Amino acid sequence: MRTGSPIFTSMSRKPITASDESAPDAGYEPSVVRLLGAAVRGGRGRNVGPPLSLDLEPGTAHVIAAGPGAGKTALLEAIALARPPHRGVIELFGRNIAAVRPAGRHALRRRIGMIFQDLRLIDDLTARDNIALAARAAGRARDDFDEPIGELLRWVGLADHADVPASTLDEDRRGRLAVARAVINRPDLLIADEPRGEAVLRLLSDLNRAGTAMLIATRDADLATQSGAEVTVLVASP
Amino acid sequence: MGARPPRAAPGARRDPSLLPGVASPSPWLALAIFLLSLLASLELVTVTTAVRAAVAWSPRFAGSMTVAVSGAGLESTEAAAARATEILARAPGVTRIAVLEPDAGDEAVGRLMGLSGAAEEADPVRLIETTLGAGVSVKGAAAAISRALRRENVAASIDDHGVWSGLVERTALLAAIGAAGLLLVLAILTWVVAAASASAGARRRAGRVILLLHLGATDEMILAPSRAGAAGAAALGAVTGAAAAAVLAGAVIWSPEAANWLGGRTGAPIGAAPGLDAWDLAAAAIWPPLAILVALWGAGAAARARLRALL
Repeated sequence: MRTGSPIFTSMSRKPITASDESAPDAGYEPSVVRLLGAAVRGGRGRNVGPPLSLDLEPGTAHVIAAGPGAGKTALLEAIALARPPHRGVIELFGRNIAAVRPAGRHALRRRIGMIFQDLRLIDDLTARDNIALAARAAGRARDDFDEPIGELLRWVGLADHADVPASTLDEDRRGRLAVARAVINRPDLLIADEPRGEAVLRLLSDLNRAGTAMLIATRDADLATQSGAEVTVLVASP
Repeated sequence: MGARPPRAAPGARRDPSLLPGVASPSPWLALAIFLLSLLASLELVTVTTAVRAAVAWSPRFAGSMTVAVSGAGLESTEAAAARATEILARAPGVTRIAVLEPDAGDEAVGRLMGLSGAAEEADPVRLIETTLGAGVSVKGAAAAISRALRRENVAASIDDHGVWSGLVERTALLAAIGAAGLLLVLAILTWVVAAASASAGARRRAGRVILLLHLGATDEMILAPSRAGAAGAAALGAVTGAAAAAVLAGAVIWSPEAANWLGGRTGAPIGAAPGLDAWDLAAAAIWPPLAILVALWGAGAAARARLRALL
């Protein structure tokens, strides 16, 4: 997996400037994620992280590499509208998230697939129901998600484990299940917080090649260097 | 390799609940609302009775007066009462005159004086109940009759019932204001217990709620089960509480033994209370819809606040 070709797709970067929402160009496709000097409070000791600027375009991947406690998770949570940035601007699909009303955040969140560091699977639900929960939370009806769940379970290699509780799955299968749950709603952006395992990385690579923009946080220096994606190194505040 | 865990039959598959158990009524919330509803409904029934009694009695006091006649000099009380009756019959605005029998009069005097032996100790008097026509000023009529009786040298005093009707009206007003205040307090307590229950529920399920929000659930999807649970508990508690209050009040209406037992147990002066009417029980029905609305409001507000704090 990590030999030879890059894992993710990268595009040449253009200068990062605040997008002009009032007069978009014809056919203009906004960045999926744009950080403009964004700093987030979090990480070890609840320090404010360094200001970051990055531009994730549709279909590309970006890796944020940092050691433990540097605030990777806090940054990803801020991008996923779970916490406000301490300073700077975070734009998601061309919208400044600070301007999104709380009641309207779900619409943006439905365009994001999250793979949490601790996976956050519901242990007493079956693999199928863990995925169905994500589809239901996005407001989809059973007729709409029943068949795609079957296809997804086959794709991640869990078709034989569809109806067993998540608690009985080993770590590798749980990781694959988390990927399946993250993509059931066909997100435009996939955020993965410290993805682990060859199988999971292969699935993420396939998704990125199929056009899903991806933001990955990792402490794995090898993954960062071999990913082929733009890499931002996050340095922990002293 | 271990045995495979049991699988759910595909036909029996159901959609996973977003927040399992949240929409079920909490027994503790139902119990708290039951107690509040019992108090509120009992209060509504009793205040309805009190106000109804006041509304019924006040006009009776207001449109009538009592003339107390006693003998003077050589004239007997009976003769003085007969002369007073003739004077009253001629007085403008008087529509009905009733001379109370001596026993009834003595009893009334004793009751009004608050002394059981008052009738024997007081000078003999005859009471004449005088009813006035609609729209006749009681004060004016009492003054005119008083002058007429003095002119004819009849020893009499006139009670225009102003003391009693004013007392009844003030008491009814105080009862209504007090009841409204107590009802407001009970409604606030209902809001608080529903909010506390919803907040505790959201805190217990914080992990699941955060996950659902990340997965794109709307606020409404998260709040709806909390509201449903609060409404269910409020409906259960409020309806049973109101029913229990109606049963207690019904026991006072239809079973004197139950009333005496209740009075003995609680020390409540049930015997001195105005008579309950079966229709007064209907007042208990006001509370449950109010409690459900207040509980919905409290649970929704608390769950929304908790939601904002979580993500």
